[in-house]
Amino acid sequence: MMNCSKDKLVSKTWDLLDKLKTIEPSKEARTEFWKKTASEELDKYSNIFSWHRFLFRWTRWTPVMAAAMLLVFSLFYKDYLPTSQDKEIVKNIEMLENLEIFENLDLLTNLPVVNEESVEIQ
Amino acid sequence: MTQLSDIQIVKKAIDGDKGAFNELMNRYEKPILNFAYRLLSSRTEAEDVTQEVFLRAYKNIEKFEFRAKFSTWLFKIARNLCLNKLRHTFRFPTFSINKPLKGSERDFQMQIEDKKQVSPSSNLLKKEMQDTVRNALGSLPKTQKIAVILRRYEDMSYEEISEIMGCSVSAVKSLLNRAKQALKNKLSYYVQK
Repeated sequence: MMNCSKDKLVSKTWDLLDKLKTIEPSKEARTEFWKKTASEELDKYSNIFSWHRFLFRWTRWTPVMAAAMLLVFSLFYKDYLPTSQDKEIVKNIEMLENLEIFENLDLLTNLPVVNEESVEIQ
Repeated sequence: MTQLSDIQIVKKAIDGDKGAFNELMNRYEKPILNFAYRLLSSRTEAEDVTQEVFLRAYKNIEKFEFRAKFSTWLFKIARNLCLNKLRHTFRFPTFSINKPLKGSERDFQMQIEDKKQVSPSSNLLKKEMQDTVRNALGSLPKTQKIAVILRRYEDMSYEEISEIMGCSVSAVKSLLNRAKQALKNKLSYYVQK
């Protein structure tokens, strides 16, 4: 009996939810929707061709230009850069200079001895 | 077009028939709008959500798998968008200085335009009853509210509700039972009258 009345109350509550009003969609909503889809489709197509904008934006070219300039300069100055042969010559010249120093050094160290000998001879 | 089934219309819409999509909107715009309205309690927000639901459906209609009903798919999108909106309003509540204290401007216009000869007192009672039911429904937890709206107003089966909500059928049944009990307690004054 108790359960039956409880069920009745629940079903009455369930029916009471009918009192909540329903709303109608506005007419403008539909036109607004189709306008939005049209503009989004346009955006989609403009995105496909946006590489043009990317291509012609000069700031995008700055790193490419810098790399190209570096390449040209390196090709131009390539002849002025020392080759391995040049390095060999320089090394040899340095060695010769050192040899001269060594020779002088020998003379300097032997100078007192040479002097003494010259005295003894006298 | 009106005699065709949803599946047939969806196939046409996938082929790029805008008229077919318009027919789908004719069928489901009102249910989706009312679902969002009951969940969000704001006409403007419900209209925004409805528009977004159909925009997403339009963009992703090729992704629709014919395993489920089209309406289930739409309500699933609507549910997700409504929950996002609720989360957002919970985090960033906004107050309009132009908004009347109770009901929207449109509600007020609708009352003026009402051509039926109803006495002001019964009108007031009706309004009060609506507010009470709305408040009772609004006080339910989100999941219970969604289950009630889909079952009571959209006449959906437990299976459909479970698919939309992403839970089991038994979970839906238990949600509905708890919601009914809570509503009974909240609306007992009106029920026993």
